[in-house]
Amino acid sequence: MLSVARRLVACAAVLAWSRGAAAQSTILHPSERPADSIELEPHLLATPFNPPGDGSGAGFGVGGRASFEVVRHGFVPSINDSVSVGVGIDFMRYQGSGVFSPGVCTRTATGPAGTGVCVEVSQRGGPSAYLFLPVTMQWNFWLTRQWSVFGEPGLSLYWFDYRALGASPVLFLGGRFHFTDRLTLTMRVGYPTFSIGVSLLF
Amino acid sequence: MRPRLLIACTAAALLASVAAPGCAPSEGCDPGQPCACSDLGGDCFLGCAGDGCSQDCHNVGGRCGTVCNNGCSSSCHDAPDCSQSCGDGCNLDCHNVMSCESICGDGCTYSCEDVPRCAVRAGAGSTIRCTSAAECDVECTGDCRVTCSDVPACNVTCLGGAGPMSCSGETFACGAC
Repeated sequence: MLSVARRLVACAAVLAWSRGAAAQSTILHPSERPADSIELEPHLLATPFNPPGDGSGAGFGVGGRASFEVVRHGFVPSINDSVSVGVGIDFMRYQGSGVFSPGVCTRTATGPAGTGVCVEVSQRGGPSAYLFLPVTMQWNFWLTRQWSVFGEPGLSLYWFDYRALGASPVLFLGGRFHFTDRLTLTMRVGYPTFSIGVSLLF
Repeated sequence: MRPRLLIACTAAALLASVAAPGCAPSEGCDPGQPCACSDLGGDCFLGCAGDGCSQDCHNVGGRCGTVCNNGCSSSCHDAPDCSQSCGDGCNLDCHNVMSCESICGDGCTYSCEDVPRCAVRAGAGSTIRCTSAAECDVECTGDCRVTCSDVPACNVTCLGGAGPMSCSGETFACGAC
């Protein structure tokens, strides 16, 4: 019985030691990370925020992101940071506010017998679909072998209800949990969307 | 040098994004879903995010209006003034207002009733009916059929400004009867 207990304690100690090693900080050791330069990330999307443009309500969607490392040693030489450029495609469906606001006429044409007939309306409130095409700068901080975080400012074009184009600034804060050197769980919060996905690193 | 260049590019992109127009044009009723605007003190206009909307604008204090693409139905009533525009294959109804002004495409079915002034421009293959109106102005841009009942001034103009054929006491046609 005592020997079993000793073995359990020994196993726990080995586990604790290995976890401690994995969690050891790498942020002060530039380049102490896998030599990956491309990240491919399919993800699920959700947001509580109204989208840019005329859409409204919370939204859900799917998308993907490809990030390409352009600076292996980032802006701060003394820490383990890097910079990537990311491009993505995200499809979102927004629920709408449920309340159709009274629309306003934005264009009138000359009708029969000199009358004026409204031919274009601007109205908010209904469900809407968006296609986002974000381009971002991803500033990564490699904290430990298991965790890295990043900030991601950028710009996104959006295609609204398959009819109209617009542009919006985007800003994300994210983190990765590294299952292995090549596979991570990647999470992002920010505007216009939150995401959770799996990243493949090459 | 390279990081500085990146920072400069990012800053420029952010500045450009702030300056870029973030607006998009109309949104509105969903195709296949009933969509109404009523009981308002001022104007109300309904758009349509696609084809096939079913729009109803009524009991407003200002101007009531609907705008749609193809295959839509629109009803407008009990307002001072109605404006309706749509593409092909639409069904427009306007009644109990002071004036109705409409533009519709080919294959339009238009009805205007109990209105001092009805005015519509309709495409080929359209059927127009004005009932109990002081004046009904119709412009057909193709073959059409117009019926005016209890309308002292039924003014029908065909393509190119030509007059219509009289088919019966109340019915006129651009093209064959």
